[in-house]
Amino acid sequence: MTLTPVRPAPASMPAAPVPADPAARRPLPAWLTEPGNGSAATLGRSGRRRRHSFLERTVADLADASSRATADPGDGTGAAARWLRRRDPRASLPATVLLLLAIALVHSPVTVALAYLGVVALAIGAGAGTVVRRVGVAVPLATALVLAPATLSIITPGEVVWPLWQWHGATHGVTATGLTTAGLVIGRVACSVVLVGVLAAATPWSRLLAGLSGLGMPRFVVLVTTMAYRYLVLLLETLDEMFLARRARSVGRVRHDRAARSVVASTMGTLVGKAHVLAEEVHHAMTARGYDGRVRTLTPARLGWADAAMVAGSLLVAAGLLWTDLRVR
Amino acid sequence: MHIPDGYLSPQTCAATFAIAVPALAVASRRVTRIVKTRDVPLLAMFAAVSFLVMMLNVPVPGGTTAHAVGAAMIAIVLGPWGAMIAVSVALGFQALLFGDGGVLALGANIVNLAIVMPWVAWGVYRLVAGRSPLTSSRRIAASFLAGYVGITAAALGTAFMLGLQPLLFRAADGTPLYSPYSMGQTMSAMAFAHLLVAGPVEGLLTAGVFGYLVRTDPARLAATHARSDRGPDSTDAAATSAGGSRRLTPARAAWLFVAAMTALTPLGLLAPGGAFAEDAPHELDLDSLGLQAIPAGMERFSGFWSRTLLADYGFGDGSNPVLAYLLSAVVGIAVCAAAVYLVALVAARTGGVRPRPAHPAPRS
Repeated sequence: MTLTPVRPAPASMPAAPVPADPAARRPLPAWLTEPGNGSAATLGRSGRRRRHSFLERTVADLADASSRATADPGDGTGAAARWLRRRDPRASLPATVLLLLAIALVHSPVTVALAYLGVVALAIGAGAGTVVRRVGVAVPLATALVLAPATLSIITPGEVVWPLWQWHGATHGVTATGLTTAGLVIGRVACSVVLVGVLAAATPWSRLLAGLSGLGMPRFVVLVTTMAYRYLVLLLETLDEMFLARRARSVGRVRHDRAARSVVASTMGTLVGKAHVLAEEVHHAMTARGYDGRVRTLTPARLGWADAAMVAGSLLVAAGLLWTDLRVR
Repeated sequence: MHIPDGYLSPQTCAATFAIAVPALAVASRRVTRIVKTRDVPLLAMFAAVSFLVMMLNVPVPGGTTAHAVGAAMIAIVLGPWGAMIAVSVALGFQALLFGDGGVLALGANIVNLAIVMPWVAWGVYRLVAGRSPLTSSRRIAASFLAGYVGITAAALGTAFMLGLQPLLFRAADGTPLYSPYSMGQTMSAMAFAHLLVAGPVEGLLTAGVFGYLVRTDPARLAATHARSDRGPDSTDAAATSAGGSRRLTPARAAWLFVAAMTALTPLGLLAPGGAFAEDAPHELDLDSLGLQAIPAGMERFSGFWSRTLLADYGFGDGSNPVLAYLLSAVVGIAVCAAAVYLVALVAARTGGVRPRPAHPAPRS
């Protein structure tokens, strides 16, 4: 047995104000608010496509990320995907952490590469192929950029395998040691983001929180987290609308000057004020439904054999990974 | 600034969880005891606001990114205990939902962003703001400095954790197993990025939001400023009253700072050699510097004065290096304090500076 997938909100919790389709609440037509499709932030007077300002791009990214998080990212319908989704988070969370720990303890880039292939296969099998496409490649590439200087002999001394320049008679360039270190870190980052992506895809947030509560997270923190998640999309939308309104009332190019900074601060201040007002309203609603400060959660169901098998399987895979690493090193 | 999985060793992650979990447990218990039912949705809202602020990323070299966190702003509005919970929740979202910051590294990120940052920001804010009125410009400056110093402290904490990795965790052949950047590189990269970019951004955001709330809706700040212009801060409302007269005065903060810096002096033992071989010219790497020999002046004067009490911050026989380092710090502080006191004393007597009366005389 597992926990109820999406339980109804107890009396102590507010009803989720997040609409099923956030775009449906917008006062503007969807085509106008779509990024890069002629929105107020996209086209100038001349009709030429203009770059979004940093803030607008970030807000668009926020809305996109939030919609991804609220929509169930698991896109698999296979048996493995269904099996993973039925697992209790009290089992899937420790199983994920076990695998992450094993990958963190591995010393050979070859073993890390094997682990990456394994987690990618797991992600595809679990129907989380979108996770691999979204973060499994982009995040390692970004990590590679950050670690690129570390492959040079001036940062990580060692045997120079790719000479780049001479300095006072000494040859400098990319070292074998630097490449090994960079490969290790990039591989671990890639494995981590895909594994966590699989966990998020296979476990709805509400069940994940119930699992964290079952694993000993204070109920108060669980309550705050649950509510914060519910209002995140709402506040994102509010922020997005505030910037859209500001943009609609602006003439000419947006400058990054003192006035712009003032607008940002005022917008954030308004957001804080709106959050306060909303919190008051939510509190009234909670109190009306009998909230007295005590947090009540459903008693979690007992763990099943399949959950235990999942943890045992992760343990075996972790042990196998470490054994392979010892042999490969 | 979020540290992803893979940059820190499991041992470091375990150590940071050992700090973060009890700290959050205390914060949770304290907040649960202090807050009213109306503060629960407020905390949730601020967790969401913190998440929004943290999504504004600027990549910087050194393994991480710089961005505003909002922890200082939340600490000023809700108090540091509430900020700990709110920022931790936001970090949990980012790690589990968006893959921003690792799951194993969550403890490290909580220590830096949800513990160090709000408390440092809160301390700076109270220290600078003092008992000034809520609407004074001094409070705006205090909120700016709170954000600026808070995020810089968090960045240095991150840099410290990253810089420890190549010092402590290497393979048998010397290959760094985790973050390869040295302490000097991480510290300088993070300090540079945060002192010049992220620090001002965080400071401006904190001051801007604070100024906006003071101007438009000061009642929102009532929970943490119950005694300011109507009286001073009562941040963490009941917490402060529960804490009695434990006020953070400038003098107390200065003493705490000196004590903390003294306790941390043994960290200097981790630094290999001198920065420019100033006390051991033979340690100079002549080839990398393009030198043929040790500069004559450096060689001649390096041992000019050798009759020191604690040479190289240690005892003569090299025993008890940590104790010797601490002793050196205490002696150094005492000597400097005595020198400053004497100079101040002479200046006061010759310049006619009058001591400030303990209690100002009432105006007639």
